[in-house]
Amino acid sequence: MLSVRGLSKRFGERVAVDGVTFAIASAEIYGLLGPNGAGKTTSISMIAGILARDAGEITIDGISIDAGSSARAMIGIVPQSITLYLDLTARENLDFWGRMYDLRGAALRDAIDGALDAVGLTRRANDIVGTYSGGMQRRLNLACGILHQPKLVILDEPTVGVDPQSRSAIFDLVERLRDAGTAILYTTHYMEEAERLCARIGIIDSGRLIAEGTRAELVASLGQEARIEIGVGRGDSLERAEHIVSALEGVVSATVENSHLHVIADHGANRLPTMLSALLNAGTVTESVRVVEPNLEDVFLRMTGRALRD
Amino acid sequence: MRHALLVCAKDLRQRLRDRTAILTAIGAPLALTALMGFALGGSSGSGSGMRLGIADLDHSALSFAFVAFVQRPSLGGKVKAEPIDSVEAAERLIREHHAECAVVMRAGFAKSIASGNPPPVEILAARGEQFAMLATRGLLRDFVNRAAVPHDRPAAELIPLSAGGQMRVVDFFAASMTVLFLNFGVLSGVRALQAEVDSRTIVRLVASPAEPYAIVAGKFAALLLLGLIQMGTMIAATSILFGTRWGNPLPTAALMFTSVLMAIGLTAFLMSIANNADQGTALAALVITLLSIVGGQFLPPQGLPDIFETLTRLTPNGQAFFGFIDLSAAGSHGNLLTVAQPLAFTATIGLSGIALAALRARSALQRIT
Repeated sequence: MLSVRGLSKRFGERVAVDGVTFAIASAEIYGLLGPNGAGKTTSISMIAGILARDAGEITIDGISIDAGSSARAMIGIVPQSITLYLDLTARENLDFWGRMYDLRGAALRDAIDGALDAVGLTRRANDIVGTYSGGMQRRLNLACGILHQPKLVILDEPTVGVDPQSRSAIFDLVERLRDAGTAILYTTHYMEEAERLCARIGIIDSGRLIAEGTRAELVASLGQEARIEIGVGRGDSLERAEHIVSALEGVVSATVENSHLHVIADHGANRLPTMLSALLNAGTVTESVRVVEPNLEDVFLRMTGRALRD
Repeated sequence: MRHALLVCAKDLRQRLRDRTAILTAIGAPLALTALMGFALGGSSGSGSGMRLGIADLDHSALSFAFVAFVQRPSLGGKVKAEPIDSVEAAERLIREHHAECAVVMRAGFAKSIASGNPPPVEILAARGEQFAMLATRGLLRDFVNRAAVPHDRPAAELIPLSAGGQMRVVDFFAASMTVLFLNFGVLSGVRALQAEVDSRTIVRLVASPAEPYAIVAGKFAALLLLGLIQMGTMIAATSILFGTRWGNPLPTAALMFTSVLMAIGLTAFLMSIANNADQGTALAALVITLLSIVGGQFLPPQGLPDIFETLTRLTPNGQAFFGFIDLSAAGSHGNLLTVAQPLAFTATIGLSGIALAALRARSALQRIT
């Protein structure tokens, strides 16, 4: 449904997006995972036809984004910020956006009712949006983007700042859209969201797509590495423990984070006895040990040397 | 076209729902017009006209002509001149409330004018008759200007009709408040446009199938319509409530149009150089207020030193304001030529401001995407 090839954008000397290539099929949720400033929003701005690109090709259902309004009509965009008219009611907002996408008459009315029902705002439809909670505004923001039943929905960090209830409602809606055959591009810096929703994930950093695949494929790319969290006694120095563990064979990295020593080691579980005895020999008391299954955070950390939320 | 109409209708719906904006655009100027008109009007602002004592101590043909000048038929009996013979008589007249103002033309009045020097004249005014004093100064200045021009050129071509001589106070403020609050009214619309950039709803608009020119056209049409509705309502309301005569409809409509353009261009440009809607509103409000002071919308510049009248004509709102004053004074004789300069000036300022704001908006849009 969506094909992006060699997408690039430069702002002055700064390269914001550098040769990004990926594709999304119908009924697929593709996650674009990366920290703030990685180039996610710039990428989707170009895909949505809002921002001119310097290089690359973008096609939606075989039609180039350069075709203009006919290509844009196939896209539903849900920007990161709340892009609603707060002085209008929910129904008036939906009515306006529906008409902008050339819906009229009974089709428009049905689409509005359907969208309101989908996001659970039917009873508040005639209230001024400025009186809504942040979560309700988020849900309406989403409804405005899917009202015209686009073939491709672009969701830019749709759950930023929402309550758990609204987040769950948004997840359900995104999954229903996927089940209805919609291709979904989902950008986030929340690893948990990408893991839960996305069939495939592209990891973007400094404007470049540095890895792509299913969650299992990405985690497998870490090889036999595992993450171990070690808690030490109150009187012991974490920095000293870090120094001891870093020197051991097979240890890829050791960092102090949240009062714990985080160790990534090749064949991690097998290295554990060596680590514990080294700490014990150095007089450091080990209070807790946890072997953590690798996740996308570890993939990102391994590939960039930085945490996803840095 | 359809998308432009949709954007325009949506913007109009938002603006007309904003009660504060309506109060600013219509309620406030009407209330201030009434308040200022009745507060500053005194007897000169009422239908009975201004009582003016004139002491001619020069006894020249020119000083004698001043009496005829203030009583000329075109002033419609707004000035009732009472000849007196001394400074003491002038003071007594004012003290005993038999006149709002008195002019004392001392010996050498005619010679000074002939030689191009300021004539020896004193104006006495009763307490609380500031507007009458300003009007008297305006009359005197018009007279001196006319007396100083070559006799082979018709004075009417050289000297614009002005507020000091022919308008009631309430009419003066009807025009001034209409222009002043036009800027504030349009500012609220421009602010909403900037807020659309700040809140990034503009991103969703640009991502829709609507072409960029349709979005711009829709938003511009909404601002233009709002400005015209505001001015039209003010003109109708002041005509009905205060009996203000705005002059010939065609040039008045043309000046309305270019004045709205001017207000859009001015406020849009000021908004475009600010970082956000709040900062832009504060900046624009400050500039509008300063321009209104310089533009003579609080006090007629004819009553102030010459530099003020020059400055007034250099401000876009001053041009619009005095354009309306000139049209009102010209009555049914007013035409597009009467306001050729204000039309050209306000249209140029408006279009330039809109063009500059559009350029800056384009780069702002690139920043937010």
